Amino acid sequence: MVERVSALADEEMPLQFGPGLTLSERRVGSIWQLAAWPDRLGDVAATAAASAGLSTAPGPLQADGSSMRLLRTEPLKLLLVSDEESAAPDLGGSGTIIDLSHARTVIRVEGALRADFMARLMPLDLRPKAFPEGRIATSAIHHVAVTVDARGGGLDLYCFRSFGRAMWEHLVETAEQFAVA
Amino acid sequence: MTGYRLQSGGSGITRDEPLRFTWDGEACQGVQGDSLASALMSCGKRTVARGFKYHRPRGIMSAGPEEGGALVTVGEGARREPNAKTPCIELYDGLVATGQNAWPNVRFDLGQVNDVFSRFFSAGFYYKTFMGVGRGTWEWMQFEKIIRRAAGMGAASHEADPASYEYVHDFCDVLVVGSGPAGLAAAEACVAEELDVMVVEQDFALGGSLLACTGQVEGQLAPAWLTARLEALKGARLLPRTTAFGLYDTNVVGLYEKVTDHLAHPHEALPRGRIRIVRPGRIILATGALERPIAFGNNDRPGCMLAHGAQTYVNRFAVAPGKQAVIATNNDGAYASAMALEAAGINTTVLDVRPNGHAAAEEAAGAGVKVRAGYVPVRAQGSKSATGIEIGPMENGHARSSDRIFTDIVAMSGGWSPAIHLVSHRGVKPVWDAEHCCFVSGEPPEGVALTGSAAAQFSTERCLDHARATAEDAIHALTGRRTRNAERPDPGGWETPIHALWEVTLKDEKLKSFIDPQHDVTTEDVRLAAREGYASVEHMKRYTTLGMATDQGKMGGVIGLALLADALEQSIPETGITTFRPPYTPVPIGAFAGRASGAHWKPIRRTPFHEVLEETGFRFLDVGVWKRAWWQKTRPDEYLDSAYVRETRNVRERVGMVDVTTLGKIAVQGPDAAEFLNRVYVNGFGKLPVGKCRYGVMLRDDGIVFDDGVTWRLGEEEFLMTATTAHAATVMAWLEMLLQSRWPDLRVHVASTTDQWAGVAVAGPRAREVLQPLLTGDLSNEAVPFMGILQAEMKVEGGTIPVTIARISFSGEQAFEVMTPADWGPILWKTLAPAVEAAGGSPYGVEALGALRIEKGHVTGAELDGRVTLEDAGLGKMASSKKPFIGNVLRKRPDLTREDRPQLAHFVPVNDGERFSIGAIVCENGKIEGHGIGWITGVTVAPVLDDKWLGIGFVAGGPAAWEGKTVTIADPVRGRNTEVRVMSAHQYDPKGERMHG
Repeated sequence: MVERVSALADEEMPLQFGPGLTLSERRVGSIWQLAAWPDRLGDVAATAAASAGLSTAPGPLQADGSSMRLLRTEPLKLLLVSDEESAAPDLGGSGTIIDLSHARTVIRVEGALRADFMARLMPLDLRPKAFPEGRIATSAIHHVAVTVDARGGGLDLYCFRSFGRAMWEHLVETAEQFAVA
Repeated sequence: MTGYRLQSGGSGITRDEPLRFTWDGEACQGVQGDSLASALMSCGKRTVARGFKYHRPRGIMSAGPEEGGALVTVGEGARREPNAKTPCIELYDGLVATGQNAWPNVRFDLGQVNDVFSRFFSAGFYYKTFMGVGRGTWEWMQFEKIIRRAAGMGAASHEADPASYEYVHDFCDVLVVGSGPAGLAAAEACVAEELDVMVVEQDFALGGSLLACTGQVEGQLAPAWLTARLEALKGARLLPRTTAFGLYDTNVVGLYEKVTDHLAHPHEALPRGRIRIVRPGRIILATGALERPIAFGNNDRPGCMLAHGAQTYVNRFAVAPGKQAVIATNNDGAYASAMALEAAGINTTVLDVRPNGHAAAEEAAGAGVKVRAGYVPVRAQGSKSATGIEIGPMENGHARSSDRIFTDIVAMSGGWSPAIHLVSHRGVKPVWDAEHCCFVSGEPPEGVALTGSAAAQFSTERCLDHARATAEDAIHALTGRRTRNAERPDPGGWETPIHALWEVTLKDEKLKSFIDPQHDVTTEDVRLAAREGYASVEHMKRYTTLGMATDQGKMGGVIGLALLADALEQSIPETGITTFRPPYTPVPIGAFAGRASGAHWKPIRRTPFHEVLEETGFRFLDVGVWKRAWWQKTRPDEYLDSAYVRETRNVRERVGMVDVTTLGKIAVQGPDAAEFLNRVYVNGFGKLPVGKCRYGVMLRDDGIVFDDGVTWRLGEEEFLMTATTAHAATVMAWLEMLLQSRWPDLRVHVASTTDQWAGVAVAGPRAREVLQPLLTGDLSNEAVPFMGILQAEMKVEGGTIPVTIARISFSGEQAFEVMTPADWGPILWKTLAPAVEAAGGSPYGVEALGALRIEKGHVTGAELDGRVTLEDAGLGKMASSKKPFIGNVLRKRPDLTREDRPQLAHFVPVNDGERFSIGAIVCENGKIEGHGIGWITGVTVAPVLDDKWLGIGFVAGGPAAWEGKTVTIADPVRGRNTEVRVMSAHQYDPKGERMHG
């Protein structure tokens, strides 16, 4: 297998900014976007849930699963994200599926100050009380669409690959103040 | 006498931490905790500024953002900031400040001659002057320059702001604005109920009016009470140096936080300031009240100041403004200031316009303060600063000057105006409270409450009661719980009623009395405005400039409208009040840009090849937010003009490769995908076989060309549409709109896959020869004819990568677009580039790409500019007559089918060596006028025409009317006319033999 070169391949990481903030890239194997026909949403959700090893698919703006994670990003769309490369689920005519495995850069934000950090980037209330584990939202950072997933005690930020490096640079510049005592 | 540091006291300073600073080039010293104002005062500086118009000397007049006198310039070079209010500047070691609006300096300013001619500079001076006789003449224009130079205060740096700023989006249950006793009490009550509370304070110290208080609060000394409250607020977010500058719809609050302005050597990672956009559950405005001055003669002399300001300097900063003080008042509030000054050893006299004795006066008298009931200030004495004051009793509405007191402090307390600016931003009309001589807030918006002196509570005890009741309402609204049933006190708090006193006048003599020292607005200016017909308070404000700019009515707004009401013989409520507008205090312009400056001015979009291209000498061009490979520098002496010609020639003669990743890519999937494309494109897609692609053009509803591109059929129900780089996002949104609102019955999903793919076009007569050895599939003309598709594997170092290849040509040569998933982009380029170079070719950039397409006569976004029809672009034959499609009806409007519409053509100079530019207009020979008969959209050196200059563009009637004839390309901007010959846009390989080969 030829090694994949992500948009952040040349960046040093993880980067620690004081004790409360760490930035890194989360390398994902596959991202499948599943889009259901309006009358077949249940079928697509069931297929997606089974692929992620879940009993049911998450509700709107929710995510579930670990190494295979399912994000309900839009009313008729789900993202199936896996750490390792995975085959496309068979939707059997109940919707369409598209491969976005190379289309996203996923930046992980961890640490106790992650909400303070994200407040500098997005107009969303990402305090843990308001944005608990399993919540997702899509907004923008510096005019670029970003989906946030509260996962594993941190936040995964999904942005378009072509903006990945600029996004990383923007985040790092913003994060540097957290390293100042 | 000048100000000096007191031997003891000063709750806000640390005496053993000296701070050096420079004032007007002179080395000075303050201490930790000083403001620039207190430090200047402690160093004996009395005249620190000059008035706007009359250049009269000005000193420190307050201890807060209402300051209208001591406006100075802070910082040097690119960090120079004019019109800074000295009480709001936190002193730090190394601070540099200078006087402004004066020459040679504020102590001796030649501009003061204006004061002699002040009658010529009254209200409306500028309006009258600029409408005057002789307007537009040379002499007048010279005069205008002088006026313009004289106008304005201070000078901003011409250099770029080197500081960084950022935005922060905050959320909380309760936002408390103001950290005085009311704000802290309200916040404490909310924190006790485990609410998420933010407290913001514009000062660098928390405590508000308590910082100037040495008395007791709820049985504790004020500093101890303050310490206890701050201890109880450990669970809250406390933000000093943060001003709520605006309150907006849906209760969004704008804050500006000064982060590093107080630091001698700020860390470069820290922003200078932050705009915080807060979306709180509830807002409690404990913004306090602003003390008002009184208008009397020469009330702008250095030494004239607000009473509570003087108290603040004495108690908080341990700085005495002088040795003797006269405090003129009309309310009880000034007595605490008088006693504070007396306790500091300043011999203090109170002039109380109210004739009878009362409890506050008796208490002050007991503390050694001299009280003269029924007396008012008439005129301050002293030319450079106050040395005394004429005083007298009021008789029949005028004062009678009867006595003189030698004093170097003339303090004023003309009443208090609740700081209701923020609710005013939401459109809440202030309501006149005649009993307390102030405007109070009307009904605030839902979720917003005012408390403390902002709600006209004029004693600390009432402020606390009111604040706790207000907090209880917020808690109940957020949690449903009621903690107690506190009574909310009515406005008030003074034992003896205030007596309205706006201006002191003499019966037979005019006084120069200022109501807005920042703009040099006098009482006479207001009366003049009324006489000249400016009866509306809004008109008066604009005519006189009263309360404009950074003042926003803080200092003299209420006096001004009271005087206007008097001049118009109507009541204050009838006169009304002007609208307070954000920002409450100035916010640096740079802060509004946040981090969107410099390299982050806009987001940057890079292709997967970017780093590889950068390493191999490519220069980049900004195309929208994309960084596109522009041209490759292969030797030190090679530049754009020669590089792109070399690259173009390589493609024509051998082979080249170019990054085409930026083309928009949209997956169109579903059983109705072909039908959907049939409706969107002018040409048919329903019968496009799987494994083939087709060029398509889409129109807008109005029949104008919207975008073009090649769509690949990858499966029976799966298409990959490409769109132009410029229109990719717009096309995507357009398709989504069509599916969701026009044709929701179609089973089609679209998804942007631009970022999924890395794409390279390999073009030139040796393209196949380069690619074939690297592939697992057959790339022969038979297997992959023109517009054919091949799914294959490419052999790269370490294995193979999947590639999808379409035989498409933008250059007019044999060409293949090779796409692979983006993360394999770098290895794709590194594999292809050596093979291309081995075949005598080279990579190329968008400059050569442009040259190739101009030679070939292909259109791009430069031509498809929203005005062009299919026929204009030479694409009319593509439109299907067998199916409906978007734009088909309206494209047939008479004006869109005129034969003389500008149509696509080539332009070649008649004389070798001549050139013309993009944007030039095409004119008939000898008729260079108006908009001409066409325009130029692209130019290049054309290797296929023996390196002649070649242009593409539009000419009325197109080649059908002009081919072979000459026209003139006029470039009035560059002063250049070029005679050119009009040609068909399809000169190069018109039969397409090269790209089909």
